Amino acid sequence: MKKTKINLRLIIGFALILMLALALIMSGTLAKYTNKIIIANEVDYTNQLADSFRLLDKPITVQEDGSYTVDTSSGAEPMSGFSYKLIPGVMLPASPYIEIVNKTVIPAYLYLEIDNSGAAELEMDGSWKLLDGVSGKKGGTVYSYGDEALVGEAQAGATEETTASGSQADDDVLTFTTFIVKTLSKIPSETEGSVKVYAYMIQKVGEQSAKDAFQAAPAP
Amino acid sequence: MRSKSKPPVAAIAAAALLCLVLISMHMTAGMFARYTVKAEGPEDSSARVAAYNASAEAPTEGPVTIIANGTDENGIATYAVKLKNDSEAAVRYDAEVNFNNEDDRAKFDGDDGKLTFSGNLAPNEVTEETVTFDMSEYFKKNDKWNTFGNDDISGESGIVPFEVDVKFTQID
Repeated sequence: MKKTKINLRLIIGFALILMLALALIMSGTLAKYTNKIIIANEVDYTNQLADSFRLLDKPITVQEDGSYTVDTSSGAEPMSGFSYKLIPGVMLPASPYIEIVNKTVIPAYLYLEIDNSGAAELEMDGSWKLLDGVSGKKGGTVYSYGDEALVGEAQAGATEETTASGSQADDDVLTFTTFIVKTLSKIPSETEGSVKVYAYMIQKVGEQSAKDAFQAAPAP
Repeated sequence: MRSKSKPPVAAIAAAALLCLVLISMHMTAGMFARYTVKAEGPEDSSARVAAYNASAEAPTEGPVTIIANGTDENGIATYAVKLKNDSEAAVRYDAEVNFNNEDDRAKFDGDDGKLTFSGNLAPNEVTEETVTFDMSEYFKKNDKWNTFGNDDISGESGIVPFEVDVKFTQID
């Protein structure tokens, strides 16, 4: 019986010391100076070259004398929607252009790939330069738009509409002006007589040239 | 043989109450002591509560812009936070970048990223810490750094709101 009483006193004593120590620690913590400051902002990021990138053209209509003219009264449409008959000796005017909306500050080269199956001769605008020895992603001839990469003026993610640097026919359109099918060098079969145009925009990484950037990019 | 005695319940309860009273007295006394000024000794001696003013500031207008890999930014952007201790006591600061949507944190897991920082400031000391947002790995993983195509834009743009939470604590 006596042993039990001693244990009880010990337990009460320990509990008392423990609670006092706890109270000491807690009171010390609560008494410290503390404050919290929150700073809010946002990260605006992009690895896009532009918001929109399209190859457009206006329709070509046949005149009474058999010639073709560009229908300037019509709005531009995606070039993939056009289909014309290539007639030997008849010139087909066309003015396809590349529309770039909200070019970002990421530098990028602009390219055209022409695959005409050898059935037509095209007159390129002077701004386009043939990339010698470069085969296109679709097997065609590749041109770069000058030697310099395009850089947009807007900050990444900016909402205002901006355009690529370079010659511009309209406020928000970058063009390569007239592109003419002069004459057919031979009478093609139906499968040979096609002219396909592809446009590409590829990021310039480091000091890459237009040729290097095109060759380094994977096929679409 | 004597019968088995019952545990002294009243004694235990009394001891517990005593403890609570002591704790309350201790805490209350501590709180009052923080707001008490006591002067002793010569007339030009005094005691007062130490001044406390720790602050952090950084730009809140204009986003932190990160541009794709291969550019000068190379998928990385920094954000400087100025920390100032105008207190008469030393302080410790612990800071962390938090996102409104925690899923966004994974976008900044590049090797050079730094989304937390901490340190000490002596009284009247000023320092600057840098948060580093590193999206280079994110851009690589998603293979979105090369836009390519006809009527086709790849890549990604976005805005990620964030907060830098800076907590200051007095050092004993």
